Amino acid sequence: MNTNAKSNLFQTNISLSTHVQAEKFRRYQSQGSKAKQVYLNTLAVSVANSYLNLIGWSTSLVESDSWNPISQTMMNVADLQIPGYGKLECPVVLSGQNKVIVSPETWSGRIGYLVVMLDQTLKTGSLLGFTPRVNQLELPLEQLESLSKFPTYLSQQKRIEPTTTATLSDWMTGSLNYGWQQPDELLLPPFSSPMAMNFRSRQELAPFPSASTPESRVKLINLGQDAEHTIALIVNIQPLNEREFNVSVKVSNYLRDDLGDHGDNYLPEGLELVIVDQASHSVMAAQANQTETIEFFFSGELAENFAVEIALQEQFVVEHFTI
Amino acid sequence: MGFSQQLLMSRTNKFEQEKHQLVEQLVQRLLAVNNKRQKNIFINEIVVTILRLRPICHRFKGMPLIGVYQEIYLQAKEQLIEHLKVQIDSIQSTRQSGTKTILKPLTAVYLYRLQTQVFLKNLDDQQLKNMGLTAQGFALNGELRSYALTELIRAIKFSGRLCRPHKSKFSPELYQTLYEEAIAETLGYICLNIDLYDPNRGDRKFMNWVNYKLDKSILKCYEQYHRYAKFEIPSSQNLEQIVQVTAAPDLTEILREYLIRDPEQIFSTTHIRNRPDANFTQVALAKFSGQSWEQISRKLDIPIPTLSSFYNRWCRRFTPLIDTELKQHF
Repeated sequence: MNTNAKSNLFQTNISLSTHVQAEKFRRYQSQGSKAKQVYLNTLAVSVANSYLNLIGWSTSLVESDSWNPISQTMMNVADLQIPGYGKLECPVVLSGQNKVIVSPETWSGRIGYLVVMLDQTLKTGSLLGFTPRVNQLELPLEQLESLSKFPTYLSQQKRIEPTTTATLSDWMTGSLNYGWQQPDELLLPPFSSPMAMNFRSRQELAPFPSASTPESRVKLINLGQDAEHTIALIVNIQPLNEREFNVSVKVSNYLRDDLGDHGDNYLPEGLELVIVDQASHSVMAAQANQTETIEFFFSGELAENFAVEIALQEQFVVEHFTI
Repeated sequence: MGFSQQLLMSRTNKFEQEKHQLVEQLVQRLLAVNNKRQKNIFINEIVVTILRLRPICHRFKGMPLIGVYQEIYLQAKEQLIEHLKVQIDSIQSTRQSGTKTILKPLTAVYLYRLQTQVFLKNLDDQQLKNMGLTAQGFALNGELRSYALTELIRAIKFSGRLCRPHKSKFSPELYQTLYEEAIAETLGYICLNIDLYDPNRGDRKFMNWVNYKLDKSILKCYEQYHRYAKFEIPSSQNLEQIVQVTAAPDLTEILREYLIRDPEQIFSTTHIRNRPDANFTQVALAKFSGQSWEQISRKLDIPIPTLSSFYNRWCRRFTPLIDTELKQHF
């Protein structure tokens, strides 16, 4: 493989084992053009992967959608996961073309785009340049920024702090996970009765026996282009017996008490709260529309996992929990 | 070769040609001068010009060289100046004395070749080790580390200090293929794991670390080659022809069936705000049937960014569930 003296072009041979992997993925597809798409995307991602390793960046193919046959089937993706930072998209162009097609599924959720050119024999691949964002189907090659600037660009990306999984049942014994606080520490004002819009829970809510007290924890999450919104995520857990728990998840807009009365305290428009319960294959979701809070109730067993996602436009934060 | 690559190549050649011409002009002017101070000025200018096309230790973002890169540069510069001085003196004294000794002409080609030799001679293991340690010293994921690693790789390849292990075991053709792959893998490993390099091990030689990895890598590449020997690399033209092996499940069909079945009623009830008809199942099935985003957008009368962003978000959210449900097929 070669980076030229100006570092603005990178070229590498594509190994036999990469082709074998691409073929394995391709075989899951019965439709001709989809099969070709999957094969080429696999090659493109592996070219980018080689380059990133050579400039000292860790990558994770297994965490990339482009390496997951199901994601490959559902979307046209050539993403490369950079652990701790996000996904790079690797749009493919064949030698002889001067426009690269970037699939709309990849216009968001990417920290950058590295264009990969494959020669007709598929034995070598080159990186032609990069662009920070894409919002059109066709990207002319002249608009690409020089690859020599890419390491600097990448080094400027924000590192995403990994979230640890919080174990809810531990909260019953008073333990506190990093980032989580007791609600009274934040002096949260009392809320009006919560409205759950588009309620879609499949679980039955068991009655609250008076004996066991629920435990709550709250985490503040900043969202928005300039982190202008602060959302309070409140998770409440109440044991029903040794193994079963009632859980509630609530979001509301957080404004500091000392900033005075703000009248209606609505959640940011279009904010989404999504709960994915892997164990029972269910999803609860709601979108804020002049809403002050969204709350979901469900029950689960010890050691079951679920994930809570709070999303605003293209930004999202996912919190993982184990009961 | 693609359009942009061709353009780049011709620009580079033109750039080099210009440099060669400049150097030869300077040499002519140098030969015409007798004043020692003037000579030194010209020699310096010639050497600096030649060094602009040096094989290693390039500048980072146009900034002056530092540390080991500066050291290597200055060492080469000093030696080239010395060499030129000796050559010029020989040429000029030969002219004066009228002897018919044949001397090497100071052409640009000769001078650039000389530069290569000088750098090669100076690039010993210690310098490579210093370049490796310099890379180690820069922050992980910082631009300087990337620069240092790129320079290190360039220097390693240029130095000729990569060994050729197990050469006799394979035919020249096969060895060439295996070697290229092993080099790529080894150098990638070196860059990703430069922090693991311990200068006190491997006889305190940097290239021992690299060559040890290379040795193992060749064997690994051969093993893979052997396993996949029957695999034929397709060309971009015949990729659309399907070889349907009964062993591999048709994922599109499986997914389609699962989405339609929708046991928990989650796919059909997830929809774009105020558009229950634009639900996840609809969009996904349209995509599976090969419809383009333009077609889907036109049919539903929803702009592409809204549609694709919705679809993208929910693919992400549903993937863990679908993975769990369908993993039996792998």
